[in-house]
Amino acid sequence: MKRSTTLGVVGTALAVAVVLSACTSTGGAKEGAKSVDPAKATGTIRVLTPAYPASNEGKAAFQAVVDGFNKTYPHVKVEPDFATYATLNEKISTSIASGAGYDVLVTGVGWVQPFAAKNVFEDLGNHGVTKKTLGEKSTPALIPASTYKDKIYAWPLTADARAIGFRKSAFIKAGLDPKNPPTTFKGIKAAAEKLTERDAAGNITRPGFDFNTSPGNYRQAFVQLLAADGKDLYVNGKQNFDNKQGVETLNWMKSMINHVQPFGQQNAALKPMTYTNDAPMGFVGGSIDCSEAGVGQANCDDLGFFLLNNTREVEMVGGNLASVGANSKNKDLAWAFIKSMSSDAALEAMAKLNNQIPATANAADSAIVKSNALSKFVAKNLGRAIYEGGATNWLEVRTDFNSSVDDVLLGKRDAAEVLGELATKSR
Amino acid sequence: MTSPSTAVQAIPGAIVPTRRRKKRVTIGRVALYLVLTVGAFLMIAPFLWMILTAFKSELEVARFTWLPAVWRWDNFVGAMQTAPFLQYFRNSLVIAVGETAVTLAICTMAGYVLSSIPIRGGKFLLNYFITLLMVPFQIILVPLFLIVKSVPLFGGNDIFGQGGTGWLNSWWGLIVPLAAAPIFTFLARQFYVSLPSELADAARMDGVGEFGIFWRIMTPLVKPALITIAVFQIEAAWNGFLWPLMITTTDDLRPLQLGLAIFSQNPASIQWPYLMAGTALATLPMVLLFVFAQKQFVEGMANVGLKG
Repeated sequence: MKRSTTLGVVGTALAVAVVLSACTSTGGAKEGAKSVDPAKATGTIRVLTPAYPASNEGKAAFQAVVDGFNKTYPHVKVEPDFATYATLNEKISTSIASGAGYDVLVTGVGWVQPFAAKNVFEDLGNHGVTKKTLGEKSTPALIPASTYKDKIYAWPLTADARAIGFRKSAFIKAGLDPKNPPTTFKGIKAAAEKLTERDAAGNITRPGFDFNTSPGNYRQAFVQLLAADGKDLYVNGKQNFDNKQGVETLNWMKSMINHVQPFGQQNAALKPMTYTNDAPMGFVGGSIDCSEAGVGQANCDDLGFFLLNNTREVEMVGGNLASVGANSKNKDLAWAFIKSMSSDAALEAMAKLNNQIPATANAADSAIVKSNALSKFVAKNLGRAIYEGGATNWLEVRTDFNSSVDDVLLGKRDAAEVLGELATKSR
Repeated sequence: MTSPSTAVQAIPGAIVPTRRRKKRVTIGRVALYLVLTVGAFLMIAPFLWMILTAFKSELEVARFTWLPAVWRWDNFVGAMQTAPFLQYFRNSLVIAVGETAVTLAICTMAGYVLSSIPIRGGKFLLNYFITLLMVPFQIILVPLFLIVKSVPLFGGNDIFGQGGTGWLNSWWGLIVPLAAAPIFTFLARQFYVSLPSELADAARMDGVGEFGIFWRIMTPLVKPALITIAVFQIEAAWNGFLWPLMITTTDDLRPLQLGLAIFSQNPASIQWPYLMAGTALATLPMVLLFVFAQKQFVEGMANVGLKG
């Protein structure tokens, strides 16, 4: 089973690589006339989006965007294709291979550079988008994630931020100050050691720090910690992790694994253990449901949040970004639809559906952000955003990161050796 | 009314069934039952977890308890109301029935030919089918997509398969490409090859044509095999995810598995109770299918052998 899965993954990667390579040589279709009266514009735009679930609620939210768009463009038909991130790569690749590419593509942070490099996305500069305009209307923090070779290829829609959460009661019980949580590697490790609970045989019964990840997925924790140690993963598309800080970060993670938390430990719902007090401190998301249908108000009241700050304070941010297909025959209409998707009301609905926050300059004012303390915290700190990705082959390299980081954490390989190997694979 | 005492009286001359000998309890037998019990529990545990999780709240899933504090039957209602699941059920049914019908028609004929008809290159064809068994679906995904998109005279395509969408977003595209998998041709061939060739020879002597031998003589003898193939194909079609996702964009055609993916859209906040409620309902037809076809299914698997 595992072998067939591996073969499948390799097969998909090969097929995708072939298709994307083919795309590099294809020229874009001619752009529609820019002076067309919106009331008279006709055509169909195809929208690929993992940002709206295919539920009744998700479809209603998308339809609201379409209705708004159709007020200005009454004769333009919008065809949505609701996808998931798990299969987004295959959807994009097969559509390009068939010559029936999408007009609007919603992808994630880390996806823009690989597809922009393959000429799958349109330079939004053709529609008047600059770093300045993006920074004014959207989240400035996501500009690097939207940029390839100094050009903007995507418009940020929602931000999926990460922070560190802790239980105030657990801190007090362990003699730690909840008003002054640790933020450095050294401080976090010392606090985690105090907070870790063990049985008589020395087995960990309650981890002192929750990495909130399963085996094979420690990559994002590494990226976040590396940034807190002063190094972004990539700078201008070049690797920036094969260095002293990279080795230090990876070795720090190794020193925590099976010391303050068993490797790959998660709760049954695969959600941050800090939310449910199964861990007193650890990585959390960017939104929490404090209602009784969620974790409950009592849990929320006991939670505090901080950002990693070994040498600089950082907040990891992912999210949804919208691009115009480079081969679209209706690029202006596609861009107009992205603008409709980026209205405050549309982003509010999208953020709610995805437990994220709107990627707007005034995100802190949105109702979804105000609805819970965690969203307020991450929205306030969006200026400290860092992101994973930046290489044009990031979608392939990130899988190598997953297995290689595990090897170091489990003591199978040396951190410097692994990072050197990953550096040679990055381009 | 017969009293119990008279009922047990022995009738002279009648054969009295001997009492079943009690099997001795040995360490080996205890160990065997222990292993089987553990094995059975390991098999059942995921299903049990699925059913119990379907009744829990989000918080109970996160904290892990075997039993929910309150049995939330409304999770099933909530899950089904999240999306048009009745339509998804119907679509899955159409795909499963359609693919199975085509499989039974095409693969049995191909299997019979490979097993019984001395055609030139038959050995090569058999090896070709065996090789195809080892090709992951992901490898052929993009080429298959292109073929389906380029089917002539469908979906606005011209005679050269250009200009339209071919079989994309159609029942044709959903059913035909996955309806004749090499595994089923190979399985059918294995069943036919196990039948004595004298039957076919005798029929030929009586003047029965080759299709008549296939249809009237040989195929009725491999009914358990047909059920095995049908069960396998229904299960594969019912659980199909990637291909329907690739070629459909509307709810009119999307099957149940794509509907269930809604609950895990955001990996960071999977709606476990709804996902498990939906999965439990989606699994039900497969469980019933296995319960009712269990005898034939096991017989078919036992007979499949690898006679070359």
